[in-house]
Amino acid sequence: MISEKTKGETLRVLGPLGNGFQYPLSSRLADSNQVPRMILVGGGVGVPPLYHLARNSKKNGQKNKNIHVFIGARQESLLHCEKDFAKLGVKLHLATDDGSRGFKGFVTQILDEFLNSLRSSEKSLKEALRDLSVYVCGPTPMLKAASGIAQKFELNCQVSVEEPMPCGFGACLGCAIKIKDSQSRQKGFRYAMSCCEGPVFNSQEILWD
Amino acid sequence: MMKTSLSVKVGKITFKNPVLVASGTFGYAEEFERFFDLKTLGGIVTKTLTLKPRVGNPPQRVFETPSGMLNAIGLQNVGVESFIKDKLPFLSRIGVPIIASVMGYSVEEFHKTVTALDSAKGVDGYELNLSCPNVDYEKQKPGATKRATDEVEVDRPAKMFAHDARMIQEVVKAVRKVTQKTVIAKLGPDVSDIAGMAIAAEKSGADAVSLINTFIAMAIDTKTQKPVLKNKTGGLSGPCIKPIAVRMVWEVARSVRIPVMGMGGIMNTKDALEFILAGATCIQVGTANFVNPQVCPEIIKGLENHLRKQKIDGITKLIGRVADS
Repeated sequence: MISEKTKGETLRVLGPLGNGFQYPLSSRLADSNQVPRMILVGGGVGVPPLYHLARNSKKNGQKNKNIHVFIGARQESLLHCEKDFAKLGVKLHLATDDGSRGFKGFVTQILDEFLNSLRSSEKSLKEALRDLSVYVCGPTPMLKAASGIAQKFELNCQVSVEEPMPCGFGACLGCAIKIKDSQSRQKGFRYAMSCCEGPVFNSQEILWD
Repeated sequence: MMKTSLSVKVGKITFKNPVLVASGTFGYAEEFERFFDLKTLGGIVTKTLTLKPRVGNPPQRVFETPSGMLNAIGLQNVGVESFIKDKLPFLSRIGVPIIASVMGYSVEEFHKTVTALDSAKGVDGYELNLSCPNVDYEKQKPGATKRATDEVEVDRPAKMFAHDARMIQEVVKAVRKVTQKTVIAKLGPDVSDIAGMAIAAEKSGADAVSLINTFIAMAIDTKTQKPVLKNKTGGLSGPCIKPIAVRMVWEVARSVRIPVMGMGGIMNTKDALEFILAGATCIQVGTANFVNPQVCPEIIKGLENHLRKQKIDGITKLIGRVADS
């Protein structure tokens, strides 16, 4: 629809709506050469918001070596923002379903491998891992898989969920997502509105289907 | 400039203009405060309230269809008690008539819900949401609908109040006993005789009828081979239902004397005029609020401009005008 617009046409835009990724502005720890501060994981059209996350983090002082970006797509031509990330200078890890570029398989597989390689009994590395946050944006199965990996390695993880949103500002109650709620009268869950309370959530909060 | 009036009266309520927001599409109004001055609205119909709070249906609750959408929100609402305490104060401060949409799973629940609201300050009237599954009826035996037998079952139990004229009468009568305020019966379109349903509501003491609610509809995901909505079916709304809604409003308006509130896919001033010409005293805008949160003030202005251009001094002159042609 947007791609069919021509010069001079008017678009009505409503925003900004909802919340964004919360990224650290400073850390009490010295930079590690092995463990990054931020791991960004993106799939398909979920990648552009991660580009802006990387860019803004750098604007706020984050160093290139502290940002690792994992991008996955069905094939090479669908790997979005690769050039943009390269220009920023962050570390890129690529995966394509068909192997046309980078690792042949899912981006979550190379994420898992990378995190495994960081695992160590060394105390300083363990501390550095606690300071690491994972930011995920892409199709729901990818969000789920990445959350599972983050949980396995006990990492902070934020996901930007993809729910259908008729209104986008909390009126229609359409974009419900099941989240943990110990206070609720129901069986420990409630439905949050992705458009207002999200779309970024702490992955641990979400009760995936 | 010529003085024009958009004012209309329904039951005991005088609306300064005939543009109301439809139940379920405007939350409890706070969410729209940032888009326009709520005081410009003719009136607000709240999200349907139930006696106890409801969590609503599991996702997926919504799905876009050509020129419309499906919804199976599941009547998620804070419940009557919390509504009176937490939502009604803001609503009553806006300064426009507030119509509480209510639903009960039984006639008794309708009765109890309206009773609870009637003592609260700020509610000007009720819209009875009759399109909820009726649990009073004996549950159909499983497999009964699978194959046609030699004998055709003529009177199958209705799935909701809105599908049965006698149930409509029971609910409206029960509510009428409890309140002096304006009572509007909201009719569902999945019936073969919408006028008959409206007549039943009128005979039972409703001050007005509002129609149409959503059509029960469905979408199937061909990849997963499952219904798109977790609830399997949902309500269809939006421009795609407008022609049927206009026809139904026209049929009902010539069958009852009480005012008709028309709705179903209204997206702009022209659509609103169609319903008014068909016989609607008021219109309600629903799905359009999601497309353009400022649609209602735009329609109100549009109606004003239309009256001025046509040199008509009051919107009431247009109600049911199509009948004269």
